[in-house]
Amino acid sequence: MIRSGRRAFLAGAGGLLVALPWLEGLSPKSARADGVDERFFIFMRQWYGVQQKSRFLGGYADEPEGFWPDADTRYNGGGTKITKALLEKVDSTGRTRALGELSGFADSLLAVRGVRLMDFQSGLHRPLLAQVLSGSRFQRTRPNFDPNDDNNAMPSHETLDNLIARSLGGPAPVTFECLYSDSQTSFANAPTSNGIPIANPAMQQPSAAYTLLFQKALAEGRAKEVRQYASDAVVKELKELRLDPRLSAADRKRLDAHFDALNAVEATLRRTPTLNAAQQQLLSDADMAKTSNPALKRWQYSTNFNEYSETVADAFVQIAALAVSCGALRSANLVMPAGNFDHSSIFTPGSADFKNGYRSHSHDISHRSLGGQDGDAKEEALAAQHNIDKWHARQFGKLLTSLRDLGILDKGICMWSNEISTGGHTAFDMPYVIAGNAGGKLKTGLYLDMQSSATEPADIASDAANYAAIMAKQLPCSKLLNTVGAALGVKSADNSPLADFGGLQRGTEDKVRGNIGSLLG
Amino acid sequence: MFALSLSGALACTGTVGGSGESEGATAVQPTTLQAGDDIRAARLGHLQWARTVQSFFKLTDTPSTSLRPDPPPKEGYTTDVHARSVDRALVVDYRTEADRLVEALLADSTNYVRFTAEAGAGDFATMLKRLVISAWPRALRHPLSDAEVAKYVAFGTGAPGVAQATDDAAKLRAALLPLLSFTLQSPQFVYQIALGDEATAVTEGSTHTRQLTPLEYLTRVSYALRNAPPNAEEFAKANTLTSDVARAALVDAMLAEPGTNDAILEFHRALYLVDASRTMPKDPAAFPGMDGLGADAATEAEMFLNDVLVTNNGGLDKLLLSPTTFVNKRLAGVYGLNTDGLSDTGFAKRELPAERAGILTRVSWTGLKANQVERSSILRGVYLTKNLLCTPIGVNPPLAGAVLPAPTPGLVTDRELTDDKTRSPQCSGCHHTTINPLGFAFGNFNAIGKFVTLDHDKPVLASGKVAMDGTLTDFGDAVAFLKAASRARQTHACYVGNLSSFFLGRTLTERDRKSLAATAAKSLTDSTPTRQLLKDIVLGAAFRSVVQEDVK
Repeated sequence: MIRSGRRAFLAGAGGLLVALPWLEGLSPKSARADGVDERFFIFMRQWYGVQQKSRFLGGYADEPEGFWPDADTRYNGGGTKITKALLEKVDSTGRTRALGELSGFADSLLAVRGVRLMDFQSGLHRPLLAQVLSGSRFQRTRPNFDPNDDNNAMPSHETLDNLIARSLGGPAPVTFECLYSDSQTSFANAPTSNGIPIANPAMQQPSAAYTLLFQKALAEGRAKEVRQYASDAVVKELKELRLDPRLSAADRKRLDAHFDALNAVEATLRRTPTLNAAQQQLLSDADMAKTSNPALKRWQYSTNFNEYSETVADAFVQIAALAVSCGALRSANLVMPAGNFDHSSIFTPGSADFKNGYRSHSHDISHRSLGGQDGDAKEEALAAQHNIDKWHARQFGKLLTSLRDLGILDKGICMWSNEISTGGHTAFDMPYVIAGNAGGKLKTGLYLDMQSSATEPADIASDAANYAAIMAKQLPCSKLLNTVGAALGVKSADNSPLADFGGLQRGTEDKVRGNIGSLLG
Repeated sequence: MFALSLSGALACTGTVGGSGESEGATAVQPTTLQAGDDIRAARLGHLQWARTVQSFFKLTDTPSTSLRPDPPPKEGYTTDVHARSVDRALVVDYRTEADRLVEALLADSTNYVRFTAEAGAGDFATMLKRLVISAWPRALRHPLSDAEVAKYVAFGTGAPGVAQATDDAAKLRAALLPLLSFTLQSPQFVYQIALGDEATAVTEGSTHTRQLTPLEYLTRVSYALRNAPPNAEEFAKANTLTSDVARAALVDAMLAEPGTNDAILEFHRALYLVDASRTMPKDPAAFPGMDGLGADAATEAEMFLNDVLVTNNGGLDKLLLSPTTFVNKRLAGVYGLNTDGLSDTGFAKRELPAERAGILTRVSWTGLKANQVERSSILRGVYLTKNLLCTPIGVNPPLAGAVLPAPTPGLVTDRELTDDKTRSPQCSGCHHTTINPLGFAFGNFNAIGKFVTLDHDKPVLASGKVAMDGTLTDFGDAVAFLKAASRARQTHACYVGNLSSFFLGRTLTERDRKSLAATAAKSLTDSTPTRQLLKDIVLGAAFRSVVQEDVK
């Protein structure tokens, strides 16, 4: 790493040192070149479910709660203020909850429980995945898939990240896929009448993503330090000119406008993210070019070599924050690793599994197994899942830290969720965790339970009752997505705050409309 | 485009949205500067900025730039400095373009050697100081004080990379990279600053007037007429510009330059909406084969303006009455001229039939002031009211459509429909006295500017009367009206006012109007060429001074 004054360099692909891009100048004609609009949306997805107590049939009802804050339940959107103390509270089982890993962001969090997907009984992962960001039922139109394949699932329409980028101005969202490909996260509306949405770009290699996203800036190759030096002088001279008493009121008004514009652009420049030594090392470590053995492409999905999962995830977290902070992206998606979690963050160092190098796929763990039959290693897998959840919370925290360091955490919204809520392929009580207030437009620092009332024994007396109770008591996820979009300034067709996104449910063409108005500032 | 009245204009009757019974009331006052609106730091236009870079860098050609175009002003001309602001987008553009041009200069050995020749030989600090003293006056448009030289030299000496450079030439390059970029973005470069000479200050009431210094005057004239800074020879003689004779000699010399024609033609293209006419969609069913009519018409208008103003050094009379034009095959067909020997692309000089006279009877204007199928007497009348006669009129009353009376059955011609549509008291005050009669005068020109005698099978009635110079004037058709208008003091005052506003880069004050009265009279009585009128304007009091209106 070379760092000299304001100049920083990045060890890029191929190991060449390249000047850090002048990110403010990425694209002078881009939607945000004038630095006016800093709104953004980042979605982080954890594969599979989380370890939480199931309130309806299908999950693990007998498991202790391990995810949501340890607070008294207040149904029907009743909120509990999230505090650092609440998040760090040790519960009756002697554990902190997974969200406790985010105690440093108590004021920025909005944890929303009691939200269901639109078609929450659709079974496998892909049909549920298709609903998380679209807020509508899935459709069986996945290209090159058997129509009867249970994993043949596509969203009914574009995903929220795409709508945000499209509405607020910006390039197509990018999905950063850590150690996995084909995550099927982000979609644009169908360009033709066939109704099949088009998948947005996805990237798997951090350094390549960096180069691609910032190609133009890299090509400029101009040292930031030199530009800053000139820019500082312009600011100083304009400041002096404004003080000349011989100027007219109209002159001063226009020079003030010029000065404000200059300062705004300077502010953009000052918050231009520079990669520190650790960040540069991160990209270098995650870079396949550093590996001589092609079989050891660290950034690629592999069941055998996942010791770099956190490195790759960390690198993508930095790139995503960097991209939205400088306007290279309006929306981004982070798909966390799906694979073997065999490192010390999951299993306690010194434990039998750790010593044996036990490598369990996170999917098995979500089914409370360590590679055998579902539930055959329940207690051990439960603990592992809880640790996996905490690991994801820490990743989300790293994202929030990066955005906070860049000064834009509260300019946009980050959202963490999964495609299912527990290992039981349930899609109620979806783990929707939000951070950032979109410039004060979204209320945060709250833990909400949107379920309308407590689950009664009659609600789970049969599968039919269970379905009806979830439908009736839990909030359709489209309303939460509309709330996020509305907070970011996206409008409905009637130009009101977003309330008409998604909303398609199973078996009916009647759309669920609306947002959670009480959360909008 | 805004309009103004110098004096003598008779306003249409009726107040906007009022009863229409207040005989002689002025709908709105002419646009005027408000207290504190005067400009002493005028941002350069983008072409002016590029040409200043050319002068500074000693480039042989004006560099192309991609600065974001200024939005068109709601009123007035694109030269209006009030509309020239620097927003965030332009800040970024200035930076991007400055960096690009500086890098290009440093990368081009011929240009770089030419530019740095003034640095001479010696150690880095000496070379830099020589270069700053010699070259920076071209950028800042004034000789540098010792303090300014010291500031720029210190900036260059302290630039990143200078200390690490291993030889003097490399140090100079390292210094110039940010120094040149800073200079091109600096307010001293971006703005034309004219504060006036305090020693000449005169205070009358709340008005404080200062004469421009000779250097400020030189710079203002050069940017106005050439869109470029003064040259080195002019800078050297700037201090001699203290007399009317010296200033007249300077202006004569500039007006003799071919480059000045560009600014004169630009004004007239804006006044007569030539650029707008280039895209003039017409209904292909009603007018087959007229897809490219707008482009043809715009070319014709440009050639006509060049012929009148440049080739023949004419003035307003010629603009309004000359039958000479330039046509290709399509236009000749529209004009009813013989098309023999004409092609689709070549334009030949011709004389138009007697029913046409001057720019306002050409396809470019008559076709633009129409919709895709029908002529529009209202569009034509509003334009003529505001821009030919400068008769003050108001804006449409709010929700103008809501006060439209129910259409009278059986009306078919444009004249019938227009008068019917504007018969309500809220509209008739201006429409029936001024706007409609002016528009009707051009009723013989249909939607593509073709001369016709029928409108929906009924004879076109182009006659009417309208107030000019305070007197109702009768006319039988467009040519008769234009002849009458060309003899009206009001028309010439309007033209001179617009010309002055364009080159002053601002709206006019009452003081300006008074100072221009003699020039307007000269245009009327002597058929004075536009070039001479322009000379009078830039030698006049308004151009040579800065006025502070808000002195307490």
